[in-house]
Amino acid sequence: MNPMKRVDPQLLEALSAYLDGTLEGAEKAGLEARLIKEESLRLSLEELRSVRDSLRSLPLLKTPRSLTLSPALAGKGTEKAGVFSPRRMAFGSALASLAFVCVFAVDILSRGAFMGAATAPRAVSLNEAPGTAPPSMDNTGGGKFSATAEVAAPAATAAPAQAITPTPTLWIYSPGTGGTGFQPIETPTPEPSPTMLPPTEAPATQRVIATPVPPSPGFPSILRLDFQTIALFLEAIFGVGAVVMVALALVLRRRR
Amino acid sequence: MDERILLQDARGGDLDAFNRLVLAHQNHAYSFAYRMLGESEGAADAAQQAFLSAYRHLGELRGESFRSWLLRIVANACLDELRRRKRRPAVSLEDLAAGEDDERSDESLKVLADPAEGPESAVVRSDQRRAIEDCLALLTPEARATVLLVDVHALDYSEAARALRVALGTVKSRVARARADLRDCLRAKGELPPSSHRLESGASA
Repeated sequence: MNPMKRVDPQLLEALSAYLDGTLEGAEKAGLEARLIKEESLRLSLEELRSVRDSLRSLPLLKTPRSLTLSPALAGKGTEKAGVFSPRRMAFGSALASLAFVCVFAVDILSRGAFMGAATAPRAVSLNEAPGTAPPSMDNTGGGKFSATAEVAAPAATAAPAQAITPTPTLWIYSPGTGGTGFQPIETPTPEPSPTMLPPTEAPATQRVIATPVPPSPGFPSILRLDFQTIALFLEAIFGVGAVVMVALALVLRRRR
Repeated sequence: MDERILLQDARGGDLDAFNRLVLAHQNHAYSFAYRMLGESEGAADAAQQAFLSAYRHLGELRGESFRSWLLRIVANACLDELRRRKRRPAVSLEDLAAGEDDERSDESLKVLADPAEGPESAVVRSDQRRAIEDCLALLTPEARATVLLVDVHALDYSEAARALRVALGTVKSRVARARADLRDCLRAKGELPPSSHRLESGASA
């Protein structure tokens, strides 16, 4: 016969708590009254006591090895929780990757910005009389097409300069007008300046005139210089930072 | 040395002081982990990780005994490990059962011996202990952890409740149910003393 099978869970819980001395008040008094009357309940209590005593008699087991912490192990734990925790190293790696991306982004942007400055002509030689032909989009030769949104400067062709005119011609770019889309516009002839006047000894057919430098599609020249400096500076900072972070991550990984 | 002084020194970064605490409590931590996990190496690893975690978080120990705090860390580590094993069993259940039997047999030789105990008594005690540990292994991990904390490692109900992050009533019912299950298991193995002996023992206790 198994007396425990007949004990309902609440009574079982009360018996267990009574055994541990955690039953109090009326509940304790009520259980003690029943224990005096009911032998089966006393038997159940003794069975629980026997099990508890058996558990209490379980000896401590001896560790197969010492569990003391070596300085290296404790240091590793400190390192994990400290500056070089895995979470922080992961953040550092992400930062290094971001820095690399920034380096390339700044590099690409700066190249794009400088392209306009590098291709903007300071002097244009003309081989034909003004107004005879629109500027070509040809990118060969010393001169090159350069224009703002509305005004296009005449460009040179691949052929060497043959004819020179002292009057610069402005071209307006009108999309949809056919051809290259450039239309000559009339501008007042500027007063000749020393820079625009050809040297008297130069042959008339070899004279080169200076044309007003149109604004580049990027930034004004002063800003371009600043931007270039800043971009180079940022590239250097990001590049060095990224290399340091990656090197640190590799060194620490090897140490682990 | 006083445990409070050792704790104070350990909080200040004194590893030797902490290791003295480890030496004082390592068998408790290991015994609990072994009876939870059922194998020696994993138990030692879990106990050592618990000590490492305790060392790192000593500042969080306030108003609680170091042993109950440590057992809380070990208990949670073991329950997490058992859940992980349940999700990703690495070996078949048959292999695991066979391995546990072997481990338990080997481990039976590594208890802290009682020098006053005679050889015959030691054999009887050893059989009874093995039967109890086999029955403990049949409990659910939560019930096993609870009854181990309360009955083997002598935590009170509130300490066990805090360690396992459950309500006090849950601990009470788990302990009662676990004791009843263990009683049935021991009876089936013939390892529960006869009623007359129990009643005599109970009267003399």
